[in-house]
Amino acid sequence: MSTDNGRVGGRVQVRVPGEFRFLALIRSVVTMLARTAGFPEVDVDKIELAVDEACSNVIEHAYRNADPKPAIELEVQWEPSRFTVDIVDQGTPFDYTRYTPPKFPDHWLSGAVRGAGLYLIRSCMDETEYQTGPGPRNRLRLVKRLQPA
Amino acid sequence: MTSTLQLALDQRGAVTVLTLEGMVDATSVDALRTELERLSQQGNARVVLDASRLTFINSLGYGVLFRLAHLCRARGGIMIFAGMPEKMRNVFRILGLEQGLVFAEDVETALARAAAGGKP
Repeated sequence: MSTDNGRVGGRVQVRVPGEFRFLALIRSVVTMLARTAGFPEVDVDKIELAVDEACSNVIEHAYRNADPKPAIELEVQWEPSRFTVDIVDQGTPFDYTRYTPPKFPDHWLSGAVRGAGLYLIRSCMDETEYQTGPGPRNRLRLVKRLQPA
Repeated sequence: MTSTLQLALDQRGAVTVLTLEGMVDATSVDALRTELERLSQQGNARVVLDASRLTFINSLGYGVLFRLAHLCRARGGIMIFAGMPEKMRNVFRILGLEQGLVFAEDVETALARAAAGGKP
């Protein structure tokens, strides 16, 4: 982990093994930083959920065939008006543009229990952006705007 | 793998109380799904889910909880979420599902409501 904290912002980088058992650690780090940035709890909860869903997707989908599974890099930056979490993986790219959110509750009433992860990521964050490359790296950027205190 | 979730069952008359403590995430959601499927297969249609000691639920967890609530209702029963923290009720709101679910302040209130067939 590296940190660079200033009075009006900060930057933290964390490299975590790409395994489900480290999701709790990722959630702990992100919630602590979101509180440090000054978010109210309702927004801290949304950031926690979005980051968990994003990292779960990396492990389950992008790293599905990887053995051993590479690490996940989290790059968290905040300033007075925005909080950015970059989730960087080295797995199979995902075609983010082809995702169509399911309709709730019809989706789950049909018997499905999956499919809500990306919907929640987009609902909980203000901006999302997915980039592949350069090289074997994918970057999902999640942004939450921060209201001035 | 260390589970992040503890589950406990208690039969209170015709109502099954399922207490969850901890976090429903990718390491524990399969255990939750298995337990809920077992409850459903046993025909338990009146369930109180004590969620007061839950600290996190992921999207799959919301899916399996919603699914059991739906199955209980389809069998003429009810599933009541007792003491669910606001952060989790808020996600049900985001998904547009809160109106179709039943919430109670605590287990005792939920038990009384379940015994009355869901009426407040």
